[in-house]
Amino acid sequence: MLLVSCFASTLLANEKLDSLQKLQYDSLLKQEVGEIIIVGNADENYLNESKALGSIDKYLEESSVVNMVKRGAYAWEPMLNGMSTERSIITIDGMQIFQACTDKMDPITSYVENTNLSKARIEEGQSGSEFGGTVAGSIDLIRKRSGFSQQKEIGGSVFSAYETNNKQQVYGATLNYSTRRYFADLDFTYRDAENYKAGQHKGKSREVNYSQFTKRNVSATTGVKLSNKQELEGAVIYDNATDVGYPGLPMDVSLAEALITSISYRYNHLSEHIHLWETKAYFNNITHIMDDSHRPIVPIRMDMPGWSKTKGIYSKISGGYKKHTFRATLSTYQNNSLAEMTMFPDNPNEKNMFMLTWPDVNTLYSGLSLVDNISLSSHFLLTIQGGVGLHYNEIKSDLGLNGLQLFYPDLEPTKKRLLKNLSSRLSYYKGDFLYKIGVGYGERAPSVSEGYGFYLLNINDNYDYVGNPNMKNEKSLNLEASSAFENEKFSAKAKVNYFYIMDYIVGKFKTGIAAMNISANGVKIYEQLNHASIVNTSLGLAYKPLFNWTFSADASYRYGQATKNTILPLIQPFSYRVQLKYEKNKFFAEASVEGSTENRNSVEFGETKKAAFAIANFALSKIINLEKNSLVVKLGVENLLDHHYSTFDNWFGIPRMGRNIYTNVVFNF
Amino acid sequence: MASLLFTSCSKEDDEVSPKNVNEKDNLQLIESIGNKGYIVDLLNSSGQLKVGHNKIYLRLKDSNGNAVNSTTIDWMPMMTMNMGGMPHEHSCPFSNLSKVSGQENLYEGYIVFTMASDAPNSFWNLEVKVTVDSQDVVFNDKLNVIDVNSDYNKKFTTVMGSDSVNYILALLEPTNPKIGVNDIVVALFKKGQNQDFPIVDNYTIKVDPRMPGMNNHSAPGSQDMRQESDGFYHGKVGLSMSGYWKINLILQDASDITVRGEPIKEGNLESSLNFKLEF
Repeated sequence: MLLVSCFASTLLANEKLDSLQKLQYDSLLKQEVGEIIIVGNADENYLNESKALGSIDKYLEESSVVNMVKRGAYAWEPMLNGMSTERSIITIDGMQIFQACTDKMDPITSYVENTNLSKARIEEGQSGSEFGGTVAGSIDLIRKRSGFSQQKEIGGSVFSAYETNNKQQVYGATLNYSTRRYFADLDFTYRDAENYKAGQHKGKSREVNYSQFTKRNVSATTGVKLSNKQELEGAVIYDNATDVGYPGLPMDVSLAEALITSISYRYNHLSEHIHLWETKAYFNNITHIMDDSHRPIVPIRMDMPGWSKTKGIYSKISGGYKKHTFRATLSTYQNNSLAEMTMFPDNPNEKNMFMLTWPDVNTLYSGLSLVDNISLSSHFLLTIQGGVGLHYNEIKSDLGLNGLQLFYPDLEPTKKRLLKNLSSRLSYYKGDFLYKIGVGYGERAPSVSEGYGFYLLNINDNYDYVGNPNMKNEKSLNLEASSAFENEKFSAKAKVNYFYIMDYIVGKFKTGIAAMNISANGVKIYEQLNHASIVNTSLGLAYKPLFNWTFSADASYRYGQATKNTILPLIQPFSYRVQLKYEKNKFFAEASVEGSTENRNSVEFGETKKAAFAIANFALSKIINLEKNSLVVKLGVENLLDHHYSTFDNWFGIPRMGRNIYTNVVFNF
Repeated sequence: MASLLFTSCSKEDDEVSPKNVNEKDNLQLIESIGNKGYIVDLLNSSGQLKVGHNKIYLRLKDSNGNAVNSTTIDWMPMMTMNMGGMPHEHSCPFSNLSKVSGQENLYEGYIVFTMASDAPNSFWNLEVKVTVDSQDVVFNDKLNVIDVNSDYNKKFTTVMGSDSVNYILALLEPTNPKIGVNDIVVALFKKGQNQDFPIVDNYTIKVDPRMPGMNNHSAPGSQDMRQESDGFYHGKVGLSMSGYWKINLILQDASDITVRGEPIKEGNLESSLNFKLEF
């Protein structure tokens, strides 16, 4: 997979600067300070990807900054800098969008497909606060658009993939139409998989039950030029998954459905200093229905539907003035989160039991974010970023408010907060070297579950979690330092960041309160610890000894600890990946080994020790030109030796996939 | 049946059922009893009398339907049981009648029927005595009292305490339970020495709500019941979800000695003193 950081982008045609300075200029123009992950799909970027039709999750996982929490084969939750989704902002093209499941079965990445996206942009720390208050950073899933073209162009692709381990079949097609004044993209993907099998293990059955899924996705984007500089664009994604299994949880999903729509207006080169003015209005609607009807033995049958609706608007300008390259963003959104739980007693004469696990909470946010990149000299670049936002919560349901008043008798239905952030980064370019140092401060609001959740069962530690609506903002101070080197044959980078989080939000056990869920051990209520520390380190190098050969190695390590002797959960142990790639003409072959040491498990949060492991992968790719069209064929094997293993972020100890042979076929026209 | 409109509620009503401020607007007729040209209407919100606490209104009128004012008014419920040919009579807890303010001829009180009618072997009789124009008028009629208890609904119980006293408890609130903190009101009586059923004073009733269908879990938010000026015991019961709940109680006397009921723990899933409700 192609990891692109801000210093490996396109070259400027008419400047003769050293390589890094060229890249610096280009990245400023694009305001891309963070890490870009190219998403392989049938239309673009498939050439260099070993697995063009793998899920978006796999792409994100290959970043040194992202870990994926796996509750099954489907819908992994991205963790940024060792922190879960409450501490980061995940957007689709700048649109805020929130999960509808109280058990985190539906991270936002599960509602999009590769065919909808071209890349994912990861911003760390306060650089990620363009659309809201964050601690860890942000992941923006950027939509693919073919855009306008000088000549009329019609193109597309038909693709198919197959994976042996879970018999996953993927089918789809894309269609693009571009003229000077108009373009339209249409794409469709269908995925269907059965249960997957873990590696060989002491002669036991390897099939992981309840890990099947079926998913359909269709998306369309269309744009029209209103004038030479102005354009209007509309986009919609509809994603529908049914019969999705979650081996790491006691329930599966009968329906996970999302409608994501937006309309945006762009004014290019508005003035000498303003390069782009973009305004976007959007709406998304997610329905998520949990279902235990496939599980033969359950403590009590239950229905758990959840709904999340978000609407918002943002307007931003970016431009330059003398030594400054700036961006200002005004954004506002409103989200409504509602989740219910109905339990069905064995005795048919007894009434059903009902409660709201998310009590119909509205979240309203309005904020302003400003970034200025100042070229102090040809070698020094100073970035200053700051923002402020108003955050407002309201419990709309009386029934939900009354339930929380069992714990908080004087609870008011509304709460206001002010979220502030400020950060600065200094970059130094010298020859082939780039050094960066940065410091930032930011605040985030508690999530809907952290503030208002009502008896949410965490199966990992087997406790019911209850929200705390009276918490203060969580505050984070972060320091980062990195250095990078690149020349024609060799590149290396090293990075360390440190987060000192105050009023750290975490659930802690409360004696004397009865659990609600039948099998749970008790109740944990969210509270704020004095502070927590998270350290992330990563190292990477790539070496091209000969023209066709590339050798690369990456390693990373995280550490997390908080007061009250709290070992933070889901912290990645030392992990590494070593890869050798050969490419010639339109063919490449790639072999890799990835692995990890034992984890520093947090017993308090139900984590167990996971043994150190290493697995081997191999991939081949070939592009065949057929006149104006091309056929791409990829073949590969993951976990070559069928090793049985589980990682620190496998929920509830479920094992990872055993040997998997896959093929991708893409026909481009 | 004429609808009755009132602009104010009596203080007792506010204490007992603060939500039922407009209860008097929709009264249903239970019985009409006539004598000497006068009629007594018995009314309540459902038109039906049941085992347990019943709030009852009385309206006095003449045969033309005109309001009649009486200087005194008393009532007495009495059950007659034929047991093996020997008739046996007993009463039950009941309140005095008081005039409803703002109305000339409407009176209110309560009766806690301790068992259901079972004609012809056992039946309830209500005697009402009034004084109109210096004349005593006595009304008598049989009343039909039904048992509404079920596996999931129990608002009335009689138990023997460890002090050999027969206690009678009736659940007045919550009538419309909700998720959250509910007011709980219980009327506590004992079978007295003189065929009377006095209110028991200065006891404490501890509350522990449990959901038998969900591993007997409880919820936070409950507060022990203490007697208030209306004579009833008031506290709070916390219910975290809708469904069937068993309200376990522990009855402690004025010296804090437990006379009935046990705490819930491993091996003891319910108290020997409890109510049941479902919503």
